[in-house]
Amino acid sequence: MLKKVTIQGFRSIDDAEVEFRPLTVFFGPTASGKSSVFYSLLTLRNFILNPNQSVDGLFQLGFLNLGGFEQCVFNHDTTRTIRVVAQVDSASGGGNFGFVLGKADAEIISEVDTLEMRAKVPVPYAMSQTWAHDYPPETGDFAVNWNGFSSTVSPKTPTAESQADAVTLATRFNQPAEALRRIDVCPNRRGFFKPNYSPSALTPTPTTEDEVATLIINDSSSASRISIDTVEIFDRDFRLHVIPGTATVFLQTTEQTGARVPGYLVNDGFGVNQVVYMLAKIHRPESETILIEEPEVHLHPYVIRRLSRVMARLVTEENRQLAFTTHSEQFLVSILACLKEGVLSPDHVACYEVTRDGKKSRFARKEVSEDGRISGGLSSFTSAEMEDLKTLVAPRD
Amino acid sequence: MFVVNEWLWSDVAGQNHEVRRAQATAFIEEFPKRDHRLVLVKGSKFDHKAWRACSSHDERTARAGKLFAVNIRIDLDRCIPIEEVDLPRLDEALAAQVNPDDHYLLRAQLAFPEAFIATTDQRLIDTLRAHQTPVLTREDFLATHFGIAC
Repeated sequence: MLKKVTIQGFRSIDDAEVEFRPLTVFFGPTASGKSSVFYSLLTLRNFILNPNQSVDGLFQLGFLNLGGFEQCVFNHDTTRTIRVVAQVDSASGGGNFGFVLGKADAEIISEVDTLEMRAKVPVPYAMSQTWAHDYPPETGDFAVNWNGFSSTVSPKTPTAESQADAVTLATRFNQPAEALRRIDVCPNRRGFFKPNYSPSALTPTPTTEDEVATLIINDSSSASRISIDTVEIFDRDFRLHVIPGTATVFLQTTEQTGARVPGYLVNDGFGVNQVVYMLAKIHRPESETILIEEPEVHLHPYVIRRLSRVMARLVTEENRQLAFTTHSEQFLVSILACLKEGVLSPDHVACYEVTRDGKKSRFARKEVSEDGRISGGLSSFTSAEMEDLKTLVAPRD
Repeated sequence: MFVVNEWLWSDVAGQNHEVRRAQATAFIEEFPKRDHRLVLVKGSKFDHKAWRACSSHDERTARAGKLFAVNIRIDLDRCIPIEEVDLPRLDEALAAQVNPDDHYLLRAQLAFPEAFIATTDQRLIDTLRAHQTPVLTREDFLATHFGIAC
């Protein structure tokens, strides 16, 4: 899982360090820089998945094209670089992986234990170079060959034991980049817009409706897992119906109480629809860290309340790492209520208020307590409403 | 640091004239912007009235109650909630001079000696001043510490 990300020179982020917990929430005004944290990680992930593409190509995130280096470097200052370094937690082996990206090159950074590796490469980079390192540096018992993304390790004195150690070390040295590969995103633009789908090819970051439907269709447990959650959130189950002898799969929901008439997901409320998409991403076995933009869209406050509890359960029971951007006071209040109910502990949660100071995004960590309180309160959600309420109902002096 | 008694919620509910209602609402808006802290006894009459305001059928009262909850009550930096069982006991002589309903205010102040009690009860003010207990009238409290003219 991600533990910390340092970002310099990306969009409105001049310099920021953000600690991730199993459940991380970024809240603050529109265009303050919340999503930039996600996009910086996805750009780094793009580089890991395919470094053999142009620098500008790294900013094509699949669901969103950020336009290229010049559009994304802080203040459009192309003399600057973009630095994104992610630290993974000890359960993922510990260590850092990142890059310092320029207009046509990158410095790749990998730090695990005492092994610090850096390599300056042109971009596109075909992973055709290797750099040799000794590990541990002081004794050099193992030779490490690194191509910027993955390492092979061999013992200087081969024995059965040292060969096994070399395999373990290689796994460990590669883990930070592996953890970044396991990041997925649930973008704002999500949902299913037709009743049926057929399995389609998947890109490394599946975000189109056909791709996400394919994730559900191809994973025999996905629909069942999603259904458990949709029953809890909406009192609706979720099923796939396959026409025999075809590859045509219909997405269906059925209200458990009340109507109890099965219908196509596309005919259900759009809130249900977009949450099914979100859950498909969260339950994807290949994903560990899921970056979710505005989980609250199209949802009634009661549903947001239930959704937040399902998210808390997915974090604590299914070992998912979820990060959210939100404009919903209700979502944040519900997360705080989960703390007070003991569903989450303060160790599970990191909250950041993101604001804009001129050109620069500011990330202020807001401590939370086990009784569900938060440093700074939630005044950023209420100030605009108060201004209008003053106009509407405040008595004149 | 302040201990506030229940005048706040009577004022918020509009029981004491529109002007006082506006002042009380202004206090709730202003408090998070200032470097002050509020001591709140969990389960006290103040706490119950704050919660009742949140669920009031009167829109303005409910709004003020909710603002208090999300901007002050759950703010780790601004509100110090304390259990009544954790409060120190009152001196018997002082306890005898004060309405038992107000004992929780004094005990909260004893727990945080730098805190001022903000009250509208003139008899309580006189008693506390006689015991050198920091106390403010509602008007002094709002005007001096929050810039709300009364």
